[in-house]
Amino acid sequence: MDRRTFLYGLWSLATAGLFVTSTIYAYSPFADGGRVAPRAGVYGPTHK
Amino acid sequence: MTDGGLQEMGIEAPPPPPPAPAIRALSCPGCGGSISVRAAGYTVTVACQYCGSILDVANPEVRLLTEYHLAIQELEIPLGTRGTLRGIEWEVIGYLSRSERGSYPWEEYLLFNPYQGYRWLVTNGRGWSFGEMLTRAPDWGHHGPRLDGHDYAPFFVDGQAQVDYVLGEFYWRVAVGEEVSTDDYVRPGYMLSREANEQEVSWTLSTLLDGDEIRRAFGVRPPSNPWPPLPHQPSPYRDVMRKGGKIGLAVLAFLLLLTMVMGSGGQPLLTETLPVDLAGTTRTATLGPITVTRPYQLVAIRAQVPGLENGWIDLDYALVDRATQASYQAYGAAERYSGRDSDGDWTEGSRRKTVKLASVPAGTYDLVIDYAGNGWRDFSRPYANSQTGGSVIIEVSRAAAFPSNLILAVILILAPLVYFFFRHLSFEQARQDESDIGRTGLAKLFTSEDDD
Repeated sequence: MDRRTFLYGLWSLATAGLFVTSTIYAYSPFADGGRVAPRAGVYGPTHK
Repeated sequence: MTDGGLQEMGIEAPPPPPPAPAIRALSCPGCGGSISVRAAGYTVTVACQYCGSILDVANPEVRLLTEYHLAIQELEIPLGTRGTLRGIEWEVIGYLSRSERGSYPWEEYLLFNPYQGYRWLVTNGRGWSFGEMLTRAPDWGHHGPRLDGHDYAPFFVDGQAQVDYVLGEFYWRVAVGEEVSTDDYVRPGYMLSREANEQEVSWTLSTLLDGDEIRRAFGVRPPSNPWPPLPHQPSPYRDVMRKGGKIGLAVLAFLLLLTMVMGSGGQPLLTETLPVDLAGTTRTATLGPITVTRPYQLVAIRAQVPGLENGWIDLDYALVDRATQASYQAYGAAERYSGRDSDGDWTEGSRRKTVKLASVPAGTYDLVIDYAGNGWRDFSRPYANSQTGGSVIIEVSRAAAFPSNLILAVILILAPLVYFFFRHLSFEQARQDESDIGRTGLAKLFTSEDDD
């Protein structure tokens, strides 16, 4: 196994590890929770 | 122990080693310089290392074939240098400088080992190859020659190679200006070369040497990162694309399976219907209890307003732990609009809105909702009314895995492979651009008109 493949394997392992950890803690950077401020700005459609 | 002693014990004596060639000393008839013939008995021609004159040494009487008075070129590997390459000791006995009729020069060192015969070290300044002349012609496949089960693709065709400079000893009558027609075929790491003149056709298989190999064997400093790549240089990204692709697929399959197992929420934890109107009045409702049992979970709150038209419902959620009063808050708005313009009828927004709370610990919660409905007037249709249908349905469910996390993981895993692919493509395009055939395969597929 060459160096690039080894490093890519490590990268994939780290990504999978982060995913498993985020799943265990039910965490996501895209979660809506914590966004407590109500929406600012003008209501209504933005159509045209 | 003597051979007789071995025979008495019933052991056959080992065969005697083949005779090593004697070193023969002679004097150059051109300049009088003293020359050592290292492969005496095999060598036919010697180029004097002092004046460059070419001598016929096949017979005991040394004959001057071509007289030169040249300034002797300093060689990267001096004649007489010995080096061990792939377990065999070789001695450099000859040197040729060749070119395609003056262009694209390269150098060839003739190596000799009395037990193995002759080999070549070939370099064009961007890498070194170890060549062995074949004693058989390769088979012919669909697109090029085939040797030992491997196909070779044409790279250089109908070339004319000439000898520009010669030094040392050779097993044939070498001469400056000697020309042969050449064709080269490649596969990663190997080059198959065909050389032909009126008398004979010869095939040579060259193996690309690793930089460390040539440095260890002959003390030559290898070129670093040659560009453009050599014709038979394997792409450094080929391995990572093959093996890395398998690794990436395996990891993605695992993540997908994990998402399917952990992401399912099962039955809703709570479903309630709340009254709503479009007067803009804020109402508050407390729903519960909601019990979540996993140590941490994703809690999804979905609001659905089936009768919503030309209005929006603001929804402020607070999921409050009954035991600790810890609050997890989120905001959502279901909004739906419709109208008519010069293009006809249009609609916008959704009557549903789902918000997700991350890392909610196990416990019993109340969901406090502050919500208010608002109407929007379409002035192009003054008679179109805003309406809600009178109710908003709130559904709370749980899961563990965010689909967005999976998408992020897929991007992170695939991004290096995409990078390697384009690096590989760039390498292959640069390599194939040196060829007489031009780009083939993926390198051709990804060629834009600007590259042509």
